[in-house]
Amino acid sequence: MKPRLFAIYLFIVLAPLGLLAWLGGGLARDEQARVESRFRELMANQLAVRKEAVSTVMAATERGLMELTELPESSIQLDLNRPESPSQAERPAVGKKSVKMEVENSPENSPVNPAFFRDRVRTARLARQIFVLKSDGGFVFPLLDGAATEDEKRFFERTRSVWESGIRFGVDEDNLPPGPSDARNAGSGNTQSRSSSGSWGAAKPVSLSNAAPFERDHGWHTWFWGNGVQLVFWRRADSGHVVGVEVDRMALLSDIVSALPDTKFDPSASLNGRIVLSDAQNRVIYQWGAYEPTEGIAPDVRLPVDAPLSMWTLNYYSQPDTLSVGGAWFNVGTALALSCVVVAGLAVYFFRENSREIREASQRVSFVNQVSHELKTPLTNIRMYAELLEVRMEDADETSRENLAVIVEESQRLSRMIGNVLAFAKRQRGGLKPNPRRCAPDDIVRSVIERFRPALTAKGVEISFAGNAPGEISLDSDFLEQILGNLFGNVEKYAAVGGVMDVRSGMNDDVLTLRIADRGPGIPKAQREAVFLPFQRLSDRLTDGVAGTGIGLTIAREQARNHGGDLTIVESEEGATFQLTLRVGGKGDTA
Amino acid sequence: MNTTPVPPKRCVATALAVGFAVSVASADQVRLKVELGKPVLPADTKHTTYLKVGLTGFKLDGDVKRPPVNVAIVLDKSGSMQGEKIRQAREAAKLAIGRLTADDIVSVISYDSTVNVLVPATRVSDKSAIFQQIDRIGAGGNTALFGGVSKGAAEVRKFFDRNRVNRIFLLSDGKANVGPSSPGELGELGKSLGKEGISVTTLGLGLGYNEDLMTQLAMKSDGSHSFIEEPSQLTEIFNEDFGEALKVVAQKVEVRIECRRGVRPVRVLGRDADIAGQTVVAVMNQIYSEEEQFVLVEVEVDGAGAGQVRDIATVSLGYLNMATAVSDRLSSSVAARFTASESEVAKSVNRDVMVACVAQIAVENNIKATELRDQGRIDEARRMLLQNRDYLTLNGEALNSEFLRNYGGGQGGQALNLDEAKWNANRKQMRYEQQAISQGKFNYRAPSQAFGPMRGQIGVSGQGAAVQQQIPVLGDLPQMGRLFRNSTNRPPTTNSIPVQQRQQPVAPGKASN
Repeated sequence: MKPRLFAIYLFIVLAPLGLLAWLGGGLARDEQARVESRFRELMANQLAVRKEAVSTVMAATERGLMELTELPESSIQLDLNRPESPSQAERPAVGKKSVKMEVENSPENSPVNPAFFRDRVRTARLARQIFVLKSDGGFVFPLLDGAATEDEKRFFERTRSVWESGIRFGVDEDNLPPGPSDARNAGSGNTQSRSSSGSWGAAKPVSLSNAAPFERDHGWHTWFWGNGVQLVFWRRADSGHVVGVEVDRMALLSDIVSALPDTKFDPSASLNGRIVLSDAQNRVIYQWGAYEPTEGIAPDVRLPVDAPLSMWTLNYYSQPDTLSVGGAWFNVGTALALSCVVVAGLAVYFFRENSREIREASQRVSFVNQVSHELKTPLTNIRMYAELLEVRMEDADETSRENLAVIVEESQRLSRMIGNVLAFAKRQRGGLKPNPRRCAPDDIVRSVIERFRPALTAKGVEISFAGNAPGEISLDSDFLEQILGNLFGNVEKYAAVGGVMDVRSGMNDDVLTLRIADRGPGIPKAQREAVFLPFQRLSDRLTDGVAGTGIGLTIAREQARNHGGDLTIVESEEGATFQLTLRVGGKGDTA
Repeated sequence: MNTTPVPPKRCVATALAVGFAVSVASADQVRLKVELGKPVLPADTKHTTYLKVGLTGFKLDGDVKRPPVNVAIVLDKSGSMQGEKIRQAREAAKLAIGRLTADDIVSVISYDSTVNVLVPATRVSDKSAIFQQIDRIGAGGNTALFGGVSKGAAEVRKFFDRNRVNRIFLLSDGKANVGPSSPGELGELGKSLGKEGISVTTLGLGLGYNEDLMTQLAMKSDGSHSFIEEPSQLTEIFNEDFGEALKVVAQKVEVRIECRRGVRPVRVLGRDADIAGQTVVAVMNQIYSEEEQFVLVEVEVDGAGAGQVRDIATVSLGYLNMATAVSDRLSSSVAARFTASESEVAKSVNRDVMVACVAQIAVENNIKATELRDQGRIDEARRMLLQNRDYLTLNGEALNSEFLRNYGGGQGGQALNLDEAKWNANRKQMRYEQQAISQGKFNYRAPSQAFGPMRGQIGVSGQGAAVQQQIPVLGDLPQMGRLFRNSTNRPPTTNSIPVQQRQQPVAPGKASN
């Protein structure tokens, strides 16, 4: 296959594939973005469901805590008018700071029955400690005195920062609208930020009349102590007492864990990724899903849990291959491969079709060639006998001689045509090689002119020949004859109207030059090369009524070039002038 | 001493005796036994003694069926469990479940970095299906212990019933590292589970687990803890511990001790209990069949005139009887007689109470030695352990207690294993013994041969045996610390306390309501 053809085929195959790859790539990127956002949506939904589960646990916890903070009349004498203990007893310090606390005189005088609350603490799994505050913030239970249990002493230690901050439950928490049963409205201020006073509880007692109105009657309070966030749930009784529960963080965590899914053994039923519930320090509280994310990578989606645990987050880590849309890229790849096959198939098809055509064409040519060969012998015989007859019939009547001349002419034309066809076929096989013999070019020109004279004269064309190459030289006379035959034939066919055909020959060193000029319609400059291409005619107009194979000039030029010369159209004032040059053997050469 | 059976089902029995009160209502009731370390106290002087409230579960036999159980088996399947360990764990779990019947409920949870609920809580009717799931457990990953236990608790809660034994069995060989992982946090979890009525039995396998975490989780939930050094022991020990759940005869146990005026509860030895003023409240999740659990209270008693008999405390016990599914209440009280005779005081010493006291104090010393070793103070820890050995041996001789002598021998073994190479295993054994003995398990498992003498397999044998006349150490138990400070190592005696020479006869036991 010719390199050019190969390149064309390569282009035909590669160009659409490249285009397809480019478009497919864009499509896949779009798909990736689309799928990614869809995945994120799905993940966010999953997290939202889990967040809801946590909120449900918190709501249930809150209901339990509401019960736990209920004050039955029997347990507490809510006597607010009872005169307060006038003295502020100095209490043993918890930690290093000396702390003041307004306390009841003794457990016996306390309006609270401590045993009641201690029993509650012992049985309520969510309560680490219960406390009761007076409306002014002073402790009613537990009391940090001799009657306090070890657990109660530890409670004061744990919650010190809360009381040091001078907290007033439900008064100066975040200014949120009251939400009777909505956990998310509960205050969640960081105690650390409000350490206004160094003493506990009622160090700065606020009288009820001056106190800000209570905005809520229950809520959450969070602070950090030890290993993480600690929670207090408080509730204000009608009497103004605040009952609070220090929530057992581990019990709450355990409940939350219980409400979240586990990793199913069956991979198809399990989460295709990993969801992690993590605390404020980003430590894992609980996680599930079979996928093990690499340490330190960021989650794909993150969702904070509702207040009061809003510092906790749910994190979704997806498996890398689920998010990167392998599918889209795979599709594009498949499409590319498929198109590659199709285009290559088409290319192969066209190539085969083409080569079949070429083969068929060459078969046709060889058929024509063979036919021409077969025609050549009878035609030669016809010509020979016609010419013989012409000699014998010199004294025959005019009409018979004219008829005979037509036969001779036409058989000559026919043999020229066959010669052309055979030469064309030879050319296609690359076998149009000159076969020089010694001869005199002017004689050959003259003989060809004589052969055309009757036909040209009949069309009114006057022939003039100026021969300047009389000497014998080495030259393929067949080539010369055929070239001249084609050129004269063209004059006869196309330029007879000019009435003149002027032929000049000349020798210059070893180049034989022939000029054949007519005064016909001429050839437009733009087409002067095109006429040498095979099967080209100047115009349909010109072909009207003119027969021809369209290969004459092509063969003529080819023969001239193969003979070391050229056939060109040269500038002339009128009509067309062909200049034929042939490199010939030296004059001195003898065969 | 008197008993008052109240038929049917609900029984209230009380008894009052000097220094010794037993209340038994019927065959399927818990035996409540209130004793004083010294039922006869020196007159007219403030004295410290011990009050022991013993609770012994009734016998489970043909007539009394064991209560159905609701257990969660939580298995660590983290990477370190690979091979022999996980294989043994699977076998142990299957063997344990094999002992259950269709009345029982079981769930199986495995965990590594995350938690798998392999067998959600289900009746034990199709054992092969459960075994199939257990056989799927392979090892690999991290240790989400908190999540595993929480999920176990969630499964137990599904069929939670006070008339069932609700329990979690946790087997782990590694340190928790996903989720809350500190001993304090897991202890808190254990406490909240205990409040719910779910005990956790923890089994530490090999030398890689965190014994503090495992003992905290077990003790705070009133479960038990075992140290399994070799995987080959796993099946046996697991089943031994599992068997505990099948021996529960009472749950939701609350012991309330009201001390009378002039009697101050100072502290409770060996277990968590609330002391508020004159009241001591201790809760236990369960009482096991034919095993004694006790609450040991150190009390300070004001002196009274010689010959007087004075009530020391009233004890009320409430529990859910698993055999009858009824809440029982028992009460009992104990009194002391005051005497001027020193020998009478010494003679009155209650051996059982004193053995229990010595054991608990030795446990406290052992815990202190652990702390010292943790701080790198190896020599001090060793000294502490050796002194503890002497203390136990001395009292073991005085009280004729083989258990104390053996426990003392163990202290000597532990003192020899404080170096880095052996400390890890030693510490695990110490933590195990501390929790076992503080729960009154005097037949704890002895350490492997490397650690000194073997365990003492004694209960409280020889009840009737005569208590030795000369018990010098006992008179001053609360000041045990002095033993260590005392360079002569001579135990102080009761002689140092002035004794009024007034004598009164022992008052006979009387029944009261």
